[in-house]
Amino acid sequence: MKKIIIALIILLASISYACENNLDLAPISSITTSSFWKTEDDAEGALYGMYSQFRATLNSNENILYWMDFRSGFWTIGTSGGAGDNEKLWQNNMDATTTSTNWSSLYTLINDCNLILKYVPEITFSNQNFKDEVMGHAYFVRAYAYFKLAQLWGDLPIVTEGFESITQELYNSRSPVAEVYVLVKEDIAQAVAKLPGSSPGVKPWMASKEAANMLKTEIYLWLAKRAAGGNAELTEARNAIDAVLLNSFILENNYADAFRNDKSKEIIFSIYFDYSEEPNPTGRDIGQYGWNFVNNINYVPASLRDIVPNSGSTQWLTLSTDYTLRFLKPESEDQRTAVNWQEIPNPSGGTVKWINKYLGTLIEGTRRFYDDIRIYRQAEAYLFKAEVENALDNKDVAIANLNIVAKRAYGIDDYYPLTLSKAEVDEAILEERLIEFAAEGKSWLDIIRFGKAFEIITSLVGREGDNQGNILLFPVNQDVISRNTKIIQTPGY
Amino acid sequence: MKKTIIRKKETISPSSGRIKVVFLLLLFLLFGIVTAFSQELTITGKVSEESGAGLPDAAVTVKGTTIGTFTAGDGSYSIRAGRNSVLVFSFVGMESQEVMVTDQRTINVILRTQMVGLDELVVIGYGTQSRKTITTAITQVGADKIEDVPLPSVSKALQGKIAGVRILQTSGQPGSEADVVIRGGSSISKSSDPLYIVDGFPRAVNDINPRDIASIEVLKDAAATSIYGARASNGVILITTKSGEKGTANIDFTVTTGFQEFGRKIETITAEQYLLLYRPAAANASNANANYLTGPTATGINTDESTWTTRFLEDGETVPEGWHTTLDPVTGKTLVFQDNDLQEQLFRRAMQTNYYLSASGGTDKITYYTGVGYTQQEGVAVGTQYDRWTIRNNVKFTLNSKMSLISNYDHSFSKTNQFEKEANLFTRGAFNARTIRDYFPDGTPGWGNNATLANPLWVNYTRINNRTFQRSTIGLSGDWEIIKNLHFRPSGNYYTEHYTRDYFEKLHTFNTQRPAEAERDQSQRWQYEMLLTYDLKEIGKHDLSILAGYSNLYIEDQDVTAEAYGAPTDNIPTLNVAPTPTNASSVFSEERLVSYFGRLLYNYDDKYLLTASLRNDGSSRFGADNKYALFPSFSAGWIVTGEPFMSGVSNLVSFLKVRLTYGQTGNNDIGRYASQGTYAATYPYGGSAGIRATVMPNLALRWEKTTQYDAGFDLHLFRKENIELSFDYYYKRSDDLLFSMQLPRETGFNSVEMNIGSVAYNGFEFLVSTKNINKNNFYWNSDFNIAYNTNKVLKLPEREGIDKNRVNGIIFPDGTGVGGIAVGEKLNGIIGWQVDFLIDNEEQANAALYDERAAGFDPVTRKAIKGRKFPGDFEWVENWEDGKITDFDQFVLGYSIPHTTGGLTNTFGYKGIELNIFTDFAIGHSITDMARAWLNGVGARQVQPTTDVLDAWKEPGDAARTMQPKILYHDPSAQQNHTRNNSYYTYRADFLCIREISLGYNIPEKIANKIGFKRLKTYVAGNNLHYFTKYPGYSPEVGGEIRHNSGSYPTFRTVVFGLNIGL
Repeated sequence: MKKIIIALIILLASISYACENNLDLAPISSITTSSFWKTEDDAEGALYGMYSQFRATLNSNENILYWMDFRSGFWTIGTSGGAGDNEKLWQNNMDATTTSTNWSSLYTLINDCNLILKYVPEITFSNQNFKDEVMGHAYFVRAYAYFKLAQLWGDLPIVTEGFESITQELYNSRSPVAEVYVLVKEDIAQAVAKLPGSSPGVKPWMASKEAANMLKTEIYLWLAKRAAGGNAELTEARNAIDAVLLNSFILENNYADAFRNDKSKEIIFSIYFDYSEEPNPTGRDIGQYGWNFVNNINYVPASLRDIVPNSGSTQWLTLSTDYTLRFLKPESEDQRTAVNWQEIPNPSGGTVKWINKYLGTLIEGTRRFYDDIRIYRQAEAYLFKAEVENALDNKDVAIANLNIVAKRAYGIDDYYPLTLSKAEVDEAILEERLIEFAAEGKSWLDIIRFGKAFEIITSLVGREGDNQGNILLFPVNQDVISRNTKIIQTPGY
Repeated sequence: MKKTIIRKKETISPSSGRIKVVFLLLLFLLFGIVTAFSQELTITGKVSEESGAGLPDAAVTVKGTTIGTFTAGDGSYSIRAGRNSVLVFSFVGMESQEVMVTDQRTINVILRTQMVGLDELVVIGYGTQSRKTITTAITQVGADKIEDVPLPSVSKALQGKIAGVRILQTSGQPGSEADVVIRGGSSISKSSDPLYIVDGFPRAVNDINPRDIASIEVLKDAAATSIYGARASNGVILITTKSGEKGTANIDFTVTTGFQEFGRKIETITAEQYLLLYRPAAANASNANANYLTGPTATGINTDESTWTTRFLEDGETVPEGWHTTLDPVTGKTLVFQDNDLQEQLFRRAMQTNYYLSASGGTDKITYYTGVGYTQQEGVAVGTQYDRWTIRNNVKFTLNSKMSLISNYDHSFSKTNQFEKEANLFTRGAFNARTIRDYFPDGTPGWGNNATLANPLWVNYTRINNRTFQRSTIGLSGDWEIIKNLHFRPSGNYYTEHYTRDYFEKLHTFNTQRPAEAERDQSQRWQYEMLLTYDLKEIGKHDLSILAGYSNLYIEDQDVTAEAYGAPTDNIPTLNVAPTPTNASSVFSEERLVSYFGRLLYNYDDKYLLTASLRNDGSSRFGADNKYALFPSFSAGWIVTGEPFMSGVSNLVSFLKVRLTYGQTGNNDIGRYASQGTYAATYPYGGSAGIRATVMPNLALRWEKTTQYDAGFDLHLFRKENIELSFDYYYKRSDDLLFSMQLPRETGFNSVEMNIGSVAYNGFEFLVSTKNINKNNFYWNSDFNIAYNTNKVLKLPEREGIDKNRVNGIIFPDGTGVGGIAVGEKLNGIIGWQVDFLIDNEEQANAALYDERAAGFDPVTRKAIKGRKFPGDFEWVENWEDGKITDFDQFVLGYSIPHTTGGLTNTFGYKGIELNIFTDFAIGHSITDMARAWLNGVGARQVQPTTDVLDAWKEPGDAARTMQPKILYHDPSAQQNHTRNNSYYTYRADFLCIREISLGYNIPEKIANKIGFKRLKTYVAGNNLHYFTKYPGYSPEVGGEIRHNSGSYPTFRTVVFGLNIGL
């Protein structure tokens, strides 16, 4: 009996003493949902997390091109053989399985914004201005995301609450696009109010009051021209763009400088890329954008390798002849041509060609692709101003602003004469935009905004009625519908 | 044994109840006293083998004491023992015998070679049990079944040998382990790996030396595994390492050496055939640059510095040596080119060498086993290698008659050289079009097409990628017999695993930065356990054994990685000279599992058997409200042959046991903190660190619970038990399945961990062992096993408007669908388009359905009409009938895992020569080989098509002879005949593999002894010798979808020669 008692004592003692029984172990290297959103530092972390996602949204799978450029038909495959699904975009033959019809990454970005907008007001900040700034960034990014979603897909599920629990309503259906615009207008107003003004050349990759006003101009121009808006919207747009022009952004004399320097004072807003922010040594993921434009070394004759930018990656994408033949003037006339496009004869036949923007940087012989993606430049501010004023029947002011951009390009004063009609001025603005912003992810939505899709885009001629008149919208990806059957496909797709 | 039981039955009245127990106890005591005071005698005799030869070194002990001796060289012995004491005669590999001492002074015994006997002990969780009385489904694999397999991996050595365990070698990388799935697993989306317990401790099976293993027990039904609670749903594999036995030292040395070679090549066309087919194809396609810029078919700028070789023969030039030549079908000029099959150059004949030295033995106080092993295995792919050192020490100290201590220590070190991204080589780089340059004139390897479609020789030349593992276990356990039959067994184990990975790229064409990476991971585990067991043996006909236990397991992982670039030299492959850091990260995590458990084993009269167990597990992984759960089990067995009515047929049925079991187990395989939701670091933005919500919390997350029923029997036929049969039928149902449920895209999360739905699995296992012939020094034994397993989804969360609540599949407009997971359907379907027929002429092409994925580029008009089909394209079968072929026209083309697996071993022996022929098979799985489709479909661009394309459709009428669609310059952007998942590229992967053949010769002892050895054995053994299968790829053991960017290291054939010396 004594032995049993001793044994039991040993047993109980060792269970209670030697062994820790605590099962409530919190993670060490990450943060749980319940322990986040307590301090100012949390808010700051979330702010940069949101921007990191913003970059991922636009860059991964080159979405910025897929969504906003490809469908103009100005793109084609590079030296690599395969266009795959891309062909469907630049031919405007999309369906519910086509690449880039998935809006997932934009909604992921929206969720980040929603969580910031929910929690940051509850956090005590030592600096109230910074609190406003964080909120301003979230409003700006959410306005951008919903605006692009609305432009591309039309009617949308409107989600303004961050998702934190499976007990929330996870399944939302598409609301009319007009309701989306109401939200976009509120958000952009908040962004303009809360974001601080910008100093040109200083951190253009963080949104500023001027960046918000650029977005606001773009939004109201679109509402005026594409969403049954009128002078009220145009006036809003004018106020916004005037506020941008009050700041001291410049036009670089040399067009190339706007792309070779990530801190150019021409940049109003950009998306930041850096080698040190991406662990993949090939630079594959971070700089897909430019990575896709440069020639593969195997496709560059040895004699040209010092002249032709090349890397180990594959040139998947390049501008199509539909673009280069129609829009590129000789280099002697337009300084932008050489930056946008290069084509030189191959000694043994054919040509070697490439988009000359976003070349990355050569570091000890290896080309690294981490040029910041330009979202808004001062050149666009002038062109927006021209577009707004022309729409408000101030043709002369419009031409004056248009000529600022033309002067840099062609080196000629008053390139566009005051004798142009209103319609001709619009045509000129659009043409300048298509050249000025080549490969910058603008052309598709620009052409639609000017109402010229069925004229300018070769593959769309005569297709106004296609897809029940919804040919200019994107179909919703099958994956999105399979996950949430409340989402109804865009009619016609 | 049986007679004893019957006698007992006659002497004890069944109605005596409690008095009987007391009486027995008294008798027991009395018996003990009588024994103690009885007179001692000197017994002599001889222990012989069946052949009559004396057996040296056999142990002779007096049962229940520490008195013992060993037989001399001629088998004779002498021992002092009390009257009525019991002498035990034993020898490794022989069946022990017990003889009671009465009046005789001479006792001669013949020890028989041990057959798989019913008295043999089987390791069950936290204890052992005789094979006869086991009521659950446990398969034991002895050391002899695995130690001579010429593969250094335990899991691969088990392949095909255990009914109901599906083992597939999915990778041939030296050092890799096989996929092991017991009874089909238990989970939809979580791991189906069984729990490995090595000498009582949960750890990875990797780097365990098969020669250290004494036995492996595979616990299959829930009644057997339930004692391991929340980790047991996928079955449990108990590995017991060797321990020493009292006696003179046995020193054993084994050396094996042999070669390995690549088994199954993927046949590609020659460079000449390639140019003749693809230069015209390129000329007809939209990309006109293809034939004159650079590239595999191009002639333009290929010089000595280019990676491709094709060019025109210059005027007056003679064809360079080793180059090939042909007439260009496009220009009529003479093409010159090299023909380099990189697949041939990637694979080689590789060496494998193993050394193993062990010593075991012991005295009354200490027994020991120690084993040291070294393995060097080159991979069949250049540059890959595996080196492993292992050491193991198991020592038992007998402190006194009541207490003993066991100390275990083992350490392994392994080093693996492997490729960083295997798919880039085995399904991509090896298939660079054969006009590629293998080596430049300066002797350095050509780099291949691009960084991810690189020449494997070049990858090997420019990369260093080494991994090492060090794994150690230190264990100490005690056994204290507090009072008779009441044992207290505390144990503590510490396990540590250090992992290192070092990666370096030399300066090369695609990257001049010399990126370097280093990873250092440490995992530590502590386990404390306390067991109390109490055995009440033979109280009348009752036999009771009780176990109570406590277990506490704590795991801590610390992972550190760093990356940098910019080193000035290739000669220092470490981070210290790389000035620019790009990533530095350390991630720590921990987990704890606290458990209480108990078990009761009851046996009445060796006829009626009952087992019950209960475990309570608490895990830190689960949601706050669901930390603990109970896992019960019951099982019952009836030894029918123990009944008197069976005695009449005992000549025919020597043993029959019927088993019925029920049990519950769990699966806790979710992320350590998944229930709590996660905010984690993203890539920084603008130089500032970012944090985002990455995992949605689910505080209600709980165990996946599996309930399993098993019914089976064990049947031995004929007196000599020369036919043994075993059959099990089981049904299991997993509820609250842990599942990453896809969320609507609008939530911003891809999925959330949830407990949803139920799946049922059922199947049977059958095995038969026969001793076909055993006479005149010749024997022939056979073992056959076969198992069938199928599954069905029973329940999923309600999804409005969706038929069968399908998740993760393709949903048709009316709510029905295909693929993913759906109620009433089987798991693991592979979906794709079903070929109807090959369009042969214009008429059929015009009548063909609109095909959403077909670009419809017409080489004649040079215009694309989307959806248009041409002769030589596939016409697909419609599933969703809307008059066109879309994503809704997919079908289940097959299943990725086999429903039936099994194996057959035949062993022949003649005078010391033993021949083993082992085959195994798997039936019912399919492979959709999109890697092959990719080669055939994009051949014109960079890769070498397989010989399939030689049969391609060329002109109307060809459909009568072939189903291979026409050659397209670039199928993905054209008609997608190849490059969409489809039935043409889906192969039945059923296979029969000649897995092992071994031929051994035990050199007669007399000869061995003469040259100073106790034993001497030589053998030759082969593994993975040949597959019989219709699948044309590397290996049919990988089911499901193979894509060109997902292929893994192919398996290979091994032949080794071995020598085993006993000292």
